[in-house]
Amino acid sequence: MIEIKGLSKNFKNIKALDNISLTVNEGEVFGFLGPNGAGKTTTIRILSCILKPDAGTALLDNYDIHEEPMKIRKLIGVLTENPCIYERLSGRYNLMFFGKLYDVPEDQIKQRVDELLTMFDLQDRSNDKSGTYSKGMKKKLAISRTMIHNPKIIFLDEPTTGLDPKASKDLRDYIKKLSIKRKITIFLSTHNLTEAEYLCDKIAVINKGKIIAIGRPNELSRMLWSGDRVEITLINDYKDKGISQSEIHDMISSIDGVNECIVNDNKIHLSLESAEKVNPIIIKKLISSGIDIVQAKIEGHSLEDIYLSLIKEESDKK
Amino acid sequence: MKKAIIIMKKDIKEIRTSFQIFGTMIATPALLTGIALVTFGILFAIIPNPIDLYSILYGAGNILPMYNLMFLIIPVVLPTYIAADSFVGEKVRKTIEALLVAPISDNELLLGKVLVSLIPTLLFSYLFIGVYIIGINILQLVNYGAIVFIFPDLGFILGCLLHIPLLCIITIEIMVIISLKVKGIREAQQIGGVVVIPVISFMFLPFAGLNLYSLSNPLNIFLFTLITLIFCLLAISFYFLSLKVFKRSNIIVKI
Repeated sequence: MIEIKGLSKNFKNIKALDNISLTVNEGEVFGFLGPNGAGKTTTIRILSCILKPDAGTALLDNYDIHEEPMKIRKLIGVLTENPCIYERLSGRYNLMFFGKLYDVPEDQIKQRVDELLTMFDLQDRSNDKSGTYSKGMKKKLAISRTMIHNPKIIFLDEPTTGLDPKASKDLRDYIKKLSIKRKITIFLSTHNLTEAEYLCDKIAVINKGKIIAIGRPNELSRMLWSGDRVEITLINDYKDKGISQSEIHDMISSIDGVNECIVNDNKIHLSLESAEKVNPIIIKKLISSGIDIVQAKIEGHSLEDIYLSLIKEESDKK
Repeated sequence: MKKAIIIMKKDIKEIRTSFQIFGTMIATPALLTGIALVTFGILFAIIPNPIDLYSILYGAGNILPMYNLMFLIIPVVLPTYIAADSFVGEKVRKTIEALLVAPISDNELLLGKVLVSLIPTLLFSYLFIGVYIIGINILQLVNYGAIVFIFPDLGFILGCLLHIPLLCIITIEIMVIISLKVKGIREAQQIGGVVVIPVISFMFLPFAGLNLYSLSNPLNIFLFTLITLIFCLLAISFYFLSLKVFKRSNIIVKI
């Protein structure tokens, strides 16, 4: 659905994008992560055909950004970082205006606008000036604007910035619904890792204009770390049985395949070569030593771990 | 063209909600018309003999040509208010990006923005010039019981029909170019205000005995034709220049 081939863009002496390439499949939620100034917004602006790259190209639904920008603009919806709504005009007028600009048939505009206003719970205030709306309502209106023409691809640039937790959650749920039910391809630029972790099928991490990693979250995790992380919770009476924390630590550390062991009260945090192979041995050893176990949990690396490691690795290289 | 009109309608609706802009758009020509009519009302009342009146209107004082020229300021002043809000306002209020990603061509977007300044300006200019013309003729009838001098004359009619649209278009085109360089509405209005200066200089021509709107002698006819041609040339040059600079990629990097 989106195919980026060697895009580069310079602003005077600053390399905003440096030969980036990636592919996003139809119906996928693609997370584009990176720190501020990494090149996320520049990429979206090039894909939306409002900025020309210095080199490379991109295909959106097989339309080339250089050859058919107008066709691309018709099939995409872009939620910019700012809501971009006309605050002196009503929410309804805003949607009607963009509906007309996006060639929504005259006889369908009103119905489509009502549908979106109802969906986003804006119907009651639809005739009020949108400048009087709360931040969350403005964001909802902006998303309605993005959706007015039923786009095939949606670009979301920091969609939950400035929203309260409830509004952020509602928005994330809606985005998820869009990708699952309507098979819309979503290109999500964010530095909110919780959001990306919840929503994205695939992730690319960009830093200083270069893509430093791309893949599914678990693929990225495997790329960075070999092995698994396990957390074992113990019943906190082992001290009464005369067993100390350091004894538990030494007992587990001596097992082959244990890379790291941290004992903290009733929790043991482990880094293992393979949880499947080593974890049963540890559990057996703990039980045979008279230590009771509440649970053993295999922990994946969070997206935050992955992201921070990638960014750190990249700066260490330099 | 259809999308240019959609943008124009939206901008006009926005302008109507701003008392500051809409109020100024009406106040400027209304004030000018009011001052002109009060001046002529007093003049007609204190000069009972129409023969004396003619020498004052067109003689050393040149009152009538001076006021006529003042009406040419309207199409230069009004677009600076509207265009600043329409072009720079979109950047300041951070709404421009949604327009730039929409399926409209650069030319349609530019045309829509030009129309929103052009149409209200022409409407208000001609509306208040109409009031000015009717007012002067009514004042003649009231004071002298008859029309003692023909108003408007051919020069003023041609000036209104040719110079008002041309000056309006030139001002808007200059505002388009300015809008890409500045970041604030006030800044745009201030720079746009400089545009008024060459037009104001016209007002001093009658003092030099060059009343180009009085087409009674060959020199004035020549001057009128020359200035009309210069305006046409400027309008065409600035049109191509504004088309050249009004590109999405230029606008987006200036946000």
